[in-house]
Amino acid sequence: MTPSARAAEAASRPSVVRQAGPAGSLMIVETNHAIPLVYVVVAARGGSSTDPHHRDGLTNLAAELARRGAGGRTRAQIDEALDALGATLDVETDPDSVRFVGQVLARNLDRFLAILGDIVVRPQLGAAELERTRREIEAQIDESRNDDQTLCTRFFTKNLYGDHPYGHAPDGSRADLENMTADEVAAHFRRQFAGRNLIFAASGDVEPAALAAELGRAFAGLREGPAEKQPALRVPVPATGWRIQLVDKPDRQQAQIMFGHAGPPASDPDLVPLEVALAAFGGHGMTSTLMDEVRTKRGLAYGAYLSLSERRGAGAISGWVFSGNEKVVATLKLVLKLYLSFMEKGLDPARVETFKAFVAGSYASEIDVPEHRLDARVGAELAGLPPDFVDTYADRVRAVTPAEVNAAIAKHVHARDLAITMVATASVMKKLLVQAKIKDTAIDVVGFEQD
Amino acid sequence: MKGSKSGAAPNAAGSPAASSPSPLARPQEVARAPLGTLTASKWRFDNGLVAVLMPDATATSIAYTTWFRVGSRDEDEAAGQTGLAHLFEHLMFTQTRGQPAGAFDRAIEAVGGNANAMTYYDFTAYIDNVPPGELARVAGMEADRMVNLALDKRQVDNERDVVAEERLGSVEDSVDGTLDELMYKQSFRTHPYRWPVIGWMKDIKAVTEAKATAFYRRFYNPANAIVVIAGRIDEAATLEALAHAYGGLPMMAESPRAVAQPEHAPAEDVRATLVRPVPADRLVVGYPAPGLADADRAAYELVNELLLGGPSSRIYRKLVVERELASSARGDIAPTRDPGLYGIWVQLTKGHTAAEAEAIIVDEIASLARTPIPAAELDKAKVRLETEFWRELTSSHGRAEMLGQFEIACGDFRQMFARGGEYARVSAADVRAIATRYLSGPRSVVVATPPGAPPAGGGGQRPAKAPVSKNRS
Repeated sequence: MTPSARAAEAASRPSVVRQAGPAGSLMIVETNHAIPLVYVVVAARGGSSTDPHHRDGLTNLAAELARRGAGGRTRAQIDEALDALGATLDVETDPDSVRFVGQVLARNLDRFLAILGDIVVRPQLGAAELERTRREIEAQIDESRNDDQTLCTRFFTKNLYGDHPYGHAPDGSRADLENMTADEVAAHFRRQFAGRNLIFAASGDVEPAALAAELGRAFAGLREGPAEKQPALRVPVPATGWRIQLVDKPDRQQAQIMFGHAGPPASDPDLVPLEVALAAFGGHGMTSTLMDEVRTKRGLAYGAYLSLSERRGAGAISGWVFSGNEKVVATLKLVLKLYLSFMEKGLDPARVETFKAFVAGSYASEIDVPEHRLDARVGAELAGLPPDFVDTYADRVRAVTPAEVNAAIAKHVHARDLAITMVATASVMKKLLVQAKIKDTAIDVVGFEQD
Repeated sequence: MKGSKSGAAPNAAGSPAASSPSPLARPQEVARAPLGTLTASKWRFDNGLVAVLMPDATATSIAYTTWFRVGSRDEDEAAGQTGLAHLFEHLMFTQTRGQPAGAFDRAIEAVGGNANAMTYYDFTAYIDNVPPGELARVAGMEADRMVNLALDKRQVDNERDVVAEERLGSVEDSVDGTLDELMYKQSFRTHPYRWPVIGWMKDIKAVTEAKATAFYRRFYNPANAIVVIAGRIDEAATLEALAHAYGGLPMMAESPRAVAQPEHAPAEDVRATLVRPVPADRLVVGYPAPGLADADRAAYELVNELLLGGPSSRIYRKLVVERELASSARGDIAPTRDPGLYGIWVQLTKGHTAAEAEAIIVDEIASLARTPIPAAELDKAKVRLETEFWRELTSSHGRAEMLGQFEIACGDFRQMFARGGEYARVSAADVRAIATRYLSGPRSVVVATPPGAPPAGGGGQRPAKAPVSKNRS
C-alpha cells in the first residue's frame, strides 16, 4: 500500500467509543449508519475454561438456559417476542467467553435490549426448562458428529490439551451434562454475568449516548460483582513425539487430519511475528507453503491450513488437511516434513516481507464489516490485548522484522511433539498407516460417538 | 459457433490508467438506484461488458467480483461433461499468455487481498477482496485472464485431482451433500438442475485440456460477463480503470446455447433412503420453488419464514421446541434463475423417525393452505425478512454477491432493491395461494438413516453434490 493510501485508510477508520457501561462493565460502540441494523454483543469473561472439573459444558448450558426463560416470559414467549422484532439472539461459548449475540433493526433496539436485559439480569433458570435444554444440547452434540471437520476438531481439542481447561468442547459432554443441577447452573450464571465481568458492545445504526441510556434502563438491577481478574491459565502438558488418534467413523472415503500443539497466549510479545510466520506456512492464502506444496503442486488435497488461535491462555497452533484415503499417508508425511523444515529453517527475509504485506492487507478484508470489527475488538479485550490492538494491527505487522519472525518460530513451533487426530474408517486407515511403517502402538483408535 | 479469442488485454500488468479511455471504451449508464444511504449504478461498455458499482466510503476494502453467465446448466450430461464449469473455475487461477503460473494469486496476496470463486447452476463468479487503492491492478489482471488464459495439461491433471478431493469431502463423505444431490437428481427429469454443480465423479475424471479450452473459448468474453464492485471506491475513477482494462477487448459473437425448458419439479412424489452414520434419521423434503426473479418469489420467501424462519415459526416450534423430535430444522430456497427447489432439512433426535417429521411438515403446510394467517404472524414474518435483507448487505462482499445474483437471475439489480417493498405487500391470500400451488402437490423426499434402522422405502443409492461449489477455503 502506498503512503498516501495508508494515510487515507487511517483517516477513514471508524471512530470507536469505549466507556463505562452498566454496573462497572465496559461498553464499546462503533456507529455506522449505512445499514439500519444494530449488532449487539454481551460478553462475559471466562468461557468454557471456567467449567469446573467434571462439569464440561456448564457455562454454555447456563447461558442457553437463561435464554429460555426470563423476566416472567417463557421460552416460547421470548422466541415470539424476538421474532416479532425481526431480531436474532444466540448463545456463543468459547474457551475465553460466553456471549449473547444478536442483530436487530435499529428502530426495534430498545425492545430488543429490554428482552436481553431480562435474560442477563432476571433469568428464571428453572429445573424443568433445564431438563429440556440439556436434552436439546445433547441432541445438538449428536448432530454435530455428522460433520467430519467439526468431529475432528472436537477430538483434536481433547487430544491436544488433555485435562487443561481448554481441553473440552464448549458444549460439554453428555456424561457431565447429565450431572449438573439447577442450583449449580444458576450459581455459575450469576458469577459470570455480573457487571464487572461483562463487555457490552454494539455496532451499526446506533449512537453511543443513546445506547448507554438504553443499556442503563434495560440492565437496571445488574449486580457489579467482585472486581477480580480472571485467574491465570496453566500451561498445557505438551505431547511427546507423534501419536495418531484415529477417530473411527464408518464408510469414510477421505480422512480429516488435524495436527498441532499449544502456542503462546495472545498477550505474548511474539504474537504478531508468529502470525506472520504461520501465515507464510499455512495461512488462508493460496501462496502459503502448505497450499502450494499439498494442493497446487501435487493435488493431494483440496485444502491445507495452519493457524494460531488467539486466546487468553495458550492458544492452539493447529493444522488441518483432508485427503482421499489412498493419499492420506503421502499427505501426512509431506505435511509433517514441511512443518519440521519450517521449524528448522525458518523464513528468508523476502518471504517475511511478502507475508507481512499479505497479513497487514488482508486484515482490511477481515474487518470490512462493522460487526467483524466489533467482534475483533471484543476478542482483543478478552484476550488481554491493548485497546488499540485492532486499529494498530496492520502497523504492528508492518513493523515486524525477519529476525523477530524467526525468533518466534524458534521459540513457539514444536514440530517434533505433535498431537495428531484423524477422522477416518479405522479398518481401512490403520492398515494403510501400518503399511507406511507407522507403529501400531503409536495409533490410538476411538469411536466417533465417544464423548 | 465458438467465440474467437481476442488479442491481449491492454494493461494486463495492472498499472492505473494514465489517460482517458478511448471513445469506444466509454461506458453508458443504464441504471441508478438508491438503497438506504447507498447508491448503485449500472454501466454498459461497447463490447457488451456490464459493470455494477456500489461505493461506500466507510468500507475498509473492495469486493471486486466478475460474474460469467455460464454454470452447470450449460454442460452436456449426455456427453459426460458435467462439472466442467466448476473445474474450469479452478483453472482460471493458472497462467495467461503474459503471466506465469500462480502470478494471479501472488499479485493479489502480495497486497493483502484474497481471491476466491464459486460456481452455481446459472453462473460462475470470481471474487477478489482487496485493500482500497488496488482496484486498477485487479481490473487489469481480471481483464487479462478473461481472454488470455493459457491452459497447461499438467495443471488440468492436477486440478482434476483437487476437484475429485473436493467432491469426496463435500459429497461422498457429507450427509447433506449426498442428500442434496439426490433430491435434485430425482426431482428434475430434463432440466440441467438435475446434475450436481461439482459434476459426477466419472465426468470430473474425464476432463481434458482440450475440453477445458473449448469451454473457455465459448463462454469467457466481455459480452458474457458482469463486473460488480462494492466497497471503498470512487465511481468515476473506477469507471476509468475499467475502461482502461476492458475497453479494448473486442465484442464477440455469442455462441448459441441449448435452451433449458423450465421444469416445475418434482412432477410426482419421489423418495429414497440411504444408510449413513447419522445419530438418527436426517431428512430433506424438496418442493417446487419459483426462480429468483419470479413474481411469486417474495411471497414464497415469506411462507418459508412462517414455516421455518425463526424459533417461533410453525414447523421449527413444533419439531424442535414442543415435541423435541428434532435438533434442527431449516428451510432453504435455491436462488436459481429457473424454477428450483425448496428444501426443508430436519435432523431427528434419537428414537424418532423421518416419517414423524414429514407428517408434521405436511400438516403445517396444509394448515397454511386452509386457514388464513393471522395479521400479527404475517407481520412477524415480514419484519424477519426485512432484517435478513439488510443482513445480507452488511459487507462489501455481501453487497457484491447480492447485486451479482440479481443481475444474473433477473438482468437488473434493482429487482433486489424492490424486494423489500414486495415483502411488505404480501397478503394472507398470497400465503394461501403459495402453500396451495407449490407446497400441496408432489414432493421429493430423501432420508439418511443410521445403520440398523428399518428402511423407509426407496433404494440404497449412493449419490452426491453441493449447490454452490466454492473453489477455495
